[in-house]
Amino acid sequence: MSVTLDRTEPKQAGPVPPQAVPLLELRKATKEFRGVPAIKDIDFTLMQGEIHAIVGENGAGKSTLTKAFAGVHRLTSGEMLIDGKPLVMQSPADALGAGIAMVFQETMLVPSMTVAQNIYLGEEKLYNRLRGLYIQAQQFLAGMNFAVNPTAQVSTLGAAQKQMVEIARAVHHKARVIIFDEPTAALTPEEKNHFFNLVRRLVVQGVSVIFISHALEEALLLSDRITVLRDGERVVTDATKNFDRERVVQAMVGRSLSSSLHGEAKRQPRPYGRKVLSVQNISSGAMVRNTSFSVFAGQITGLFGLVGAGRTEMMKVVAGVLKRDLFDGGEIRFLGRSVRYRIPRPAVRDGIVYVTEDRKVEGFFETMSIAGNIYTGKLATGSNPLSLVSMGEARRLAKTWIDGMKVRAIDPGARIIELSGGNQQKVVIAKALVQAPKLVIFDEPTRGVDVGAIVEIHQFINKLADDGFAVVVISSYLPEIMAMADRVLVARQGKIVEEMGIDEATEEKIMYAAVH
Amino acid sequence: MFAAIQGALDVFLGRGEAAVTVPVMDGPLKPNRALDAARSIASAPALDNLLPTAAGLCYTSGPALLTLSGETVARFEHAITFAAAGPDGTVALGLEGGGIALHGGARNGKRMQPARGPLGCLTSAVFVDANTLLVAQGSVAHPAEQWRHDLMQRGRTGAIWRIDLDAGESTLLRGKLAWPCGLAVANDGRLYVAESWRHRVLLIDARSGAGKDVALGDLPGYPARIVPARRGGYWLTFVSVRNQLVELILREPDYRTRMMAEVPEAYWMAPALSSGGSFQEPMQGSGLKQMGQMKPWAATRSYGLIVRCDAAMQPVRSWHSRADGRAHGIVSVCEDGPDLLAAAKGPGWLLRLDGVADETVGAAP
Repeated sequence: MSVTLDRTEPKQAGPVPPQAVPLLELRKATKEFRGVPAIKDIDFTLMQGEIHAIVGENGAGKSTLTKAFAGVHRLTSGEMLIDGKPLVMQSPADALGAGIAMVFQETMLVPSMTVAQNIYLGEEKLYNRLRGLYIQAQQFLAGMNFAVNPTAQVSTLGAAQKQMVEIARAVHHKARVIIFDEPTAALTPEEKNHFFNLVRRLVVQGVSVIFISHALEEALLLSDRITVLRDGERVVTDATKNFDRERVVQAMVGRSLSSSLHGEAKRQPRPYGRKVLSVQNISSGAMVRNTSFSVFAGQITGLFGLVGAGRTEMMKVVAGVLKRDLFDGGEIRFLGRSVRYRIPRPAVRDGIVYVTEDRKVEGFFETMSIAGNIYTGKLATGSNPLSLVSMGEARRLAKTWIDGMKVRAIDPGARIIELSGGNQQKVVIAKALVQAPKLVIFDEPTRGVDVGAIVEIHQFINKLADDGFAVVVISSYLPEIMAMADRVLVARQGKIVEEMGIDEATEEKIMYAAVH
Repeated sequence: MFAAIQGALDVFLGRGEAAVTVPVMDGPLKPNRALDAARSIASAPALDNLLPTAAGLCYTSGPALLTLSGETVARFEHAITFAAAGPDGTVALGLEGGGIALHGGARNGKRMQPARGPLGCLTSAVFVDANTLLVAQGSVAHPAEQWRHDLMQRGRTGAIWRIDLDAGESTLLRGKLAWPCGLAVANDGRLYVAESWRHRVLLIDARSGAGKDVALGDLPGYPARIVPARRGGYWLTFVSVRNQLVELILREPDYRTRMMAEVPEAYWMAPALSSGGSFQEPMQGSGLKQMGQMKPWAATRSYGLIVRCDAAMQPVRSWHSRADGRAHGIVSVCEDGPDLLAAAKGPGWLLRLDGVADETVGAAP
């Protein structure tokens, strides 16, 4: 995706010479969860007034690293230094005290309070004079050149303005380092330009920025240096001018992606098969609003949308995971028959399965074995309620699927929680496919999955479509949509607003539809 | 019994058959402007029934059968409602209230008024062999030109007849159909029937009329004629498309009764072959007119739509004239070499779509 940046405001401050003491430094930082390293031996430096981008695929360790900076995670080994002095953090409050603030993708503001109240949250006095607070906030915001009304309720603000408030709050807490986690995911192109200008202004004021983004072009355009992580390890750190997209991508995945992962965007889609699913004017709560779309057999239908666009909710309604209110209207026809599922079981019986985006909460039973989890999927069809549970059958079934999906596990009796994210996801997929579906809905199928498993999961999904299954892939990662989908549906504000074949789709077109 | 209870519940809850929803036109039915971009090569009032004859490609206009250059091949005392070409060069023509006329071939000039068969509202026909004609009768209650009356009264009186041309005998194959108006013989010898008011294409036995298979259902429009394509599959035309307001009105008998009694037919809130000709028409593009320009996605009474289907009658590609277009009411198509000719009955245009008949269509999985 190319993002047009407003270059009218050039950077006035860059990184200071390398001989200076880094503002923030990590030495041989390792963080393990249950003995599995999420990041390993990471060396990282952030200079005064620098914008440092951290990029990497899902599961590369970006979040763990930044949460270590923000005091959310404590390092298992290694050390962190600020101004060259060791820093031990026990909590996020310690990080804030050291001048490190984090702005999350989903803002952490109190929506029912005003902008000023959010900025000064936690500093309330016994008697609070709102007028004085507003004047103070007005001056503070004006000083940062932020055009936000301090009396406005946060829930009425757009995504970019909310981020401004987050930034203002961080600066108010005298943050010297601000970490942005996917800050542009929910922004319109105009808001994005505005955000980039804000970041540049912060740098001019001496703040250092750590910037995490999936959009490589943004990292390439905005940052001074880029660090690439892969499988929890630092692959390379270099000045941005020494990078181009291909080099970043190669560093991220360890090889060129052009043929395996996210390549061949412009390609011929698979032909349309029978219409398997016809959703007509359905609504559900505030998240699905009078939306209509179809899904065809033998194709992968990509469903893209920004956070809050209602993609997941639409498909959960289809699969009976979310109950559709009787009087919300609309109709869902599956294989020509009008259906209304109140629970997933009849949907599963009819042939619809939904592979959740949150596998840890909804995808598997973490105390059960691989075989037990896959067998649970089989039992959920309720094909024979009088049959006895057979662990022998469970093991046979698991063996078949472990081999078929190349799950890396010692044996089917191993506990699923002991597997890596990618292998857990394969088991979740196996648990769904054992139900012999006709329509498979994958919600963020490669979220938190290692790169090797991503390729395998993509190949598996492609094979499903080749075999004539109707497949829906929900993804917020555009390259994944471009690589997988035969046709792309774009969701915005609870509706499908655009449809395009992959031969006519571009990332720009899709993103434009998602935000306009 | 259970179906009756289910039906009553559906009506109460506005779901299933009683839902006022309309399937979205996406996938192979994704709208475009291809019909508006097509060349108009001729025009005639009520232009319909494109077919190949011994005199070349012909069309009908009212009671006349004409060549593409406008020469009259035959003229009758009644309006022609269907035309079908037989394997021996015979052309069967349905005449409103006048039975069936045979033109050309061994039976040239023969007229048929089957004693037990259909007399009026003959919407489509197809030859099974040189002696057997299958005829679709849209309705027993209304003539063909009153198709909107039949729709608004939710007519279910259509039928398929099998006619022995030598003996002049007719056999009822299937009754209680909701305006059948397109017939085509499938590869396996069965018969495709476009049942307009139920928005579907049925697949029935061509000898007995038995069979419940819905080859293509839940369509977003009112299907009309089905024409086999030379490169495999079929061409399916549509009278117009459905919209939610009409679907709602079709579930409101009192409203429809008053509308039909008090409002001139041209201004009914019902599908039409063309629209936008008068400010008195309902909807006016549902108000989606800005700076004097109709928005293409506006709800509309008339629409132009041709769908290319594969051999299993699954849509593969489509050609559209949307709310802001004028090539509406496409009721008949015919291949002319690599091109496709389409009769837009609304404006009375004969359109030529260059090269589309030469496209190969693969079978759907």
